Amino acid sequence: MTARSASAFLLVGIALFLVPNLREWMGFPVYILVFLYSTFYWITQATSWNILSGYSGYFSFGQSAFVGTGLYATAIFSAQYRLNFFLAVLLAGLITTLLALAVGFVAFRLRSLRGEIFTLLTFVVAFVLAAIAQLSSFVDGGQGRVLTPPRYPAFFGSYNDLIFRMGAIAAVIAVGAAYAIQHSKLGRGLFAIRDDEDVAEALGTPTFRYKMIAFAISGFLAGAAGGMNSLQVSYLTTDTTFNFIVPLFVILMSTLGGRNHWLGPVIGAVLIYSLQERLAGAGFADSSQIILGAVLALTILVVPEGLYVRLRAIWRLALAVFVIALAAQQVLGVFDSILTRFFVALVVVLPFVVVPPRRLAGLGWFAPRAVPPRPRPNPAPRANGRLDREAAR
Amino acid sequence: MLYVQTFVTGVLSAGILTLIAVGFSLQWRILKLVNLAHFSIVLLCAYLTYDLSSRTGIDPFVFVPVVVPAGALLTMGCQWLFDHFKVTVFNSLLLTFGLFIMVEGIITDIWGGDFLRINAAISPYSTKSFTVFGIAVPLAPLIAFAVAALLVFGAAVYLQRSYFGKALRAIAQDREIATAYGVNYRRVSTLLAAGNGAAGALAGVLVAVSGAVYPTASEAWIGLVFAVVILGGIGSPLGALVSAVLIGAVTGVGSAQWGTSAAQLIMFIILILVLLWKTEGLFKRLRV
Repeated sequence: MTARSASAFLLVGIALFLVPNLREWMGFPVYILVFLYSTFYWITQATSWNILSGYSGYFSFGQSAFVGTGLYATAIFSAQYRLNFFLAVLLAGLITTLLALAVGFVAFRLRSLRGEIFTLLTFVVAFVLAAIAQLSSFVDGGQGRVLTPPRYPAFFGSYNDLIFRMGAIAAVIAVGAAYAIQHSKLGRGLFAIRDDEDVAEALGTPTFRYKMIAFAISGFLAGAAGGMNSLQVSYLTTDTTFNFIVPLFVILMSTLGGRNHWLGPVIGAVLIYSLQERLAGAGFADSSQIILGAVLALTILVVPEGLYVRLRAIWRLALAVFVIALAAQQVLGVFDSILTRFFVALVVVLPFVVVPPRRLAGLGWFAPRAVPPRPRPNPAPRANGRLDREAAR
Repeated sequence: MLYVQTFVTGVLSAGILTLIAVGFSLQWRILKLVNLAHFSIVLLCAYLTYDLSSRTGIDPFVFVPVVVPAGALLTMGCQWLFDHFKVTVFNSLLLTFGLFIMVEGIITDIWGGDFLRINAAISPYSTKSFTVFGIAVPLAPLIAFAVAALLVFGAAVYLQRSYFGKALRAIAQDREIATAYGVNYRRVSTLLAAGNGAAGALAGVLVAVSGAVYPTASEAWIGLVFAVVILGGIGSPLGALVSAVLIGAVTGVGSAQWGTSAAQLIMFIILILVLLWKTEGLFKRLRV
């Protein structure tokens, strides 16, 4: 990560941190803060999943293992041992890091079928952890666990300001980490693993170490963010923590947005969380599981590369349509809630993203453009190879 | 005596597990697809059996000729999706996970989240048992075990001897070379899917006959079947039967000793140990 991009992420973080101060002045209601917190939470989770699973192609179904462990660990440290909340969240993150390393140690050493076995193993780990939590009265014991709001320093503002700010910090850290990894040697190694692990290994990529590092980072982010989410949860049960909703959400978000780029999970998280929120708002909360499962299956079949690549080609058109859709709703006075208007505008943009680019060729400045491939650094000239040196020049 | 009893019950519970595992494992090794939708189809067939039998009041085994083709057709539909959209092995995981979640939601929508059980007056199998040397042998798992054993030995012999089995092994080794030598991939994969679906549907009928059905039952099967498949070696019907018996016996005795949650833990530890020391499974020789 260069100093420029690092300061850009820092600036975004500071700006987001100050948003609650401007709320009264900008005049938006409090529930927007809560909505944005949840969006940040899912951005963090999806990004955490994407760092290992998107970049390296090892799909984990065990995100709920990290989230659940993080939640229970935070609850135990913070509520039972009266530890500082922020410290408890960090400790929860450390525990899930160890969990990730243990699972990775078993799965990543395999020679064949490692991808599939890793996926099924993560699935089983979440299941078994739920069973352990059920058994152990220290953790849950089948009784569930009541959470109390933690104490926190006054500069975080009111409780809603606090959760918004925590969510923003978590999301900026996670997305910043994903950005930094993508632009580092580790990221290139992970992409090489995804493309062909045997070749990558033969060319000297330390595949086992890279996968372990990526999984550890992913586990830390997922566990710490899960622990942070205890701010919004008042009662924990194994059924509501170690379930399929978390892996479904993160996989769907990353896949829909695009697994090869740090922005993919962000786009996917915004889309899917607003969809879920509007479904619940419209009284379809019960069937949201069916709808989201269907969206995942359709995404794999129709846009397996994700929306990011498409959006990048037509971003002018998409932005124009989005602004027009928002303005039209304002002028016509339909849909009062900001969230609904935002969501409707997203839905209006979607067809433009999904149609084949050649259909939009006649739109002049708005027409899709071919995305230029990322410029790659020239290969370093090899010692005593004249031809190589000439080619590098 | 208690241990002998739980051992017998555990071993017999391997029947249903094997029936589910065989199709999953063959599809994984030969077609390079991890089909989580297989579990959904088994559960759907169980619910279908429950529904038909409870509505009409007829013995559930009468509906085998209805449910088995339904399971085969559903699996063939999934296979068509994989082939038509050229789904890779990793995308097949995500795709079928989406389908799995979807079916779970649909089942909950139609039948609700409760435990459902066919009335004992219609289906006496789940409660009936007979005693051998003082050990109760429950009837439904015994039927399941017999069906599974017959099917597994039949499949092993058939796949070893027939042209179809040879074609499957050729595809498993190298799909492109196999098709270049005249193996019709689409036909073979569809046939295999039909077989898997039929075995899964039989498992579904037996699930409905031997106990209660509920929407999240399929989640528990995934872990067990995964352990069975890894332990027995991927793509080995006989290995699946042997390892299902092993896992059934261990978890049966374990759950009598320490409770059902602990049994899952034991199963998990066995799985981890096998993954660490003997990745190719314990029964490599039994592979077709």
